[in-house]
Amino acid sequence: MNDAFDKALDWCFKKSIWVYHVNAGGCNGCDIEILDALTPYYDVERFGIKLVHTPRHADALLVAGPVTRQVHERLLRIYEATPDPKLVIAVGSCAMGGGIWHNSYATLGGLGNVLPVAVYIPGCPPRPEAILYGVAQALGLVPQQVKKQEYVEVI
Amino acid sequence: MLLELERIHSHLLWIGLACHFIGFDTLFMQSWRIREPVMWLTEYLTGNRKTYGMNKVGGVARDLPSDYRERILPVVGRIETETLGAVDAILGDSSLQARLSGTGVISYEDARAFCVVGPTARGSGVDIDARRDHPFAAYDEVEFEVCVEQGGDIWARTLVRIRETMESIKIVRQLLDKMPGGPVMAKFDEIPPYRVGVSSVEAPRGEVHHYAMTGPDNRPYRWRVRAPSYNNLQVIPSMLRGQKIADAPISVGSLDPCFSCTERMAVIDKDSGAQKIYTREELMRYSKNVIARSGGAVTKQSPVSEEIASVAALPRNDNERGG
Amino acid sequence: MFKHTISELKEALVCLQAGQVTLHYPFEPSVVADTFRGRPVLNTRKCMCCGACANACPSRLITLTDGGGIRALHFELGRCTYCGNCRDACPQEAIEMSNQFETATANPDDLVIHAEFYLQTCRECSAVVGSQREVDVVREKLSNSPVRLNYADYFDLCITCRRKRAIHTPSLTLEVVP
Repeated sequence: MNDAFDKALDWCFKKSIWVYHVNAGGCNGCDIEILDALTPYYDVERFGIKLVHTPRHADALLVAGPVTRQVHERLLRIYEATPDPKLVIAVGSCAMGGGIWHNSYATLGGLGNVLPVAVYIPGCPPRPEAILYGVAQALGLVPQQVKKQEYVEVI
Repeated sequence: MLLELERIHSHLLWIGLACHFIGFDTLFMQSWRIREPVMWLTEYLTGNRKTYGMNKVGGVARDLPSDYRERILPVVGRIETETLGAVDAILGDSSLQARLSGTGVISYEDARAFCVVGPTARGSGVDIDARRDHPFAAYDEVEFEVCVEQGGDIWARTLVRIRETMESIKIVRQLLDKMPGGPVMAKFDEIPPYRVGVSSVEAPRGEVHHYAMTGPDNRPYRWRVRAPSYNNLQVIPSMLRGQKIADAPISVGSLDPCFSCTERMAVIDKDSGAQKIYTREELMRYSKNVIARSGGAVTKQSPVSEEIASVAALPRNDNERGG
Repeated sequence: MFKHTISELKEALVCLQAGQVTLHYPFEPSVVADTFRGRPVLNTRKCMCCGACANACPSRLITLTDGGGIRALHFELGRCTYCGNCRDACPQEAIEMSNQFETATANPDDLVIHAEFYLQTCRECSAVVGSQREVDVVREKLSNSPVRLNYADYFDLCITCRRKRAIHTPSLTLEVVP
């Protein structure tokens, strides 16, 4: 019974997700790119991805910005307001690891320190294609492309 | 030139958003469509769509690609024809005009009193433009017109932005003709620490001031930005007085506010120099009290001798990343 | 009223002229410009681990750590702003900005570049001189230049020991061969 329920939930989740966009102290660059993904050239709505105006309707949160101290409390409230199951997607280098603000007293140094993040989309700002790819990756539709580059010198 | 390209896309973005606020989504989509080639162009010219990473201490980080002229001119020409077409279409739209004219009026006196900058000020008849008043970069070598409208309402601000887009296209063309060759970086010695630099640049939304103090270790030590939205947002209470609630979103939107630019606020007491960062509750209480006391206007009439200044403001994305 | 209708018709025309512009992005690969600054890639064959990139990086994501005879160069690309300063600073042109932008990941560790190089320590006091490759590069450059050193063991000494040696042996000087 439980399995069937989970399956149904997965099925619903895969088809069309509604995202809510949170600016956690970003510089507006990522926000513009998120909005850009809606516009005619990228048009994410053809995949059923829709930007909604309240976290209570959302399946996923797109968070941009290095999470400043002022916004931290609000961010947690938004997270709690989002119904389960939910995905948190960090957009931009700032949300990923704090960006150039990683050691500033005013930020918490990235979203990973605050919320459980499903997918990080690096970029400053990421291209709309990259955002689209990241959301698709969060849904498990496309594979991950990057992996750690390691090198040890041998003589 | 990049600043002008940025101005083109920012104004087109604003026209789109303003139309979105009043429920005219067709133009929202269309103006973003017109804008998109600018983004591709900047990606080609500089390597990124928004953070160009071009400005460096001593010059610019890299030279333009060799075929930049052939790349820029068609894009600019296409934007010009498409914008003219779209503008031609909306100028006759009487419902749009009825919606926008007469709302969100900022009188000339208010604009002066609240020190608004950029297209917001120019829409109210205040003739300021940092490009002309304090010429920086190559602005003293090009001819352009500072667009000023007298109306003070949202329609006037829209007209200012449309005309400025056209002016920007003109400036880009002039700059392309006059573009000099030569090295992109000047030679300089080690940057001495603890020196102060202040600059003022006419960003799409208005004057933006950057204050930077160099530090040891080849890094900025203090950096503060006064973004134009910060000035412009102060005028909202006087602008909204006596209006319908339905007009509020477009009125606020017509200032092209960038809330990221104005995020944190601290109150500094002029006399003692004490500094205090307000929490949300305190700000709410403070604003309620002030509004109750002065009947809708903000701190201008308040007896407290406090000066609001934002500390550690977040950066705008266009300048000084590389520095 | 008539004017309004004309304007609406014009608006419709603007939309119709544009036609369908949506890019078929996920189904067709998106072409980026050659100058696009994507994920930085370290060419470990060229890199000599000098740390010029670490000094140039505005977000301080490149770190150099010495220890155990090894110098580790660590890029934490999660914070990268893709400014390209590291590429411009690199004397060996070992860093290049790739075209890759689809870099979404569930784990920030996937965006790490970690490279370890052998360390050259001082022959006398065992302080760090630099990475072995760095010393090799300097040696090679000096052997090709008109400036000749008449003391070959100069290279594996740290700067303090070099000074000591230079003071104690006045014959150890640079000689410029015309």
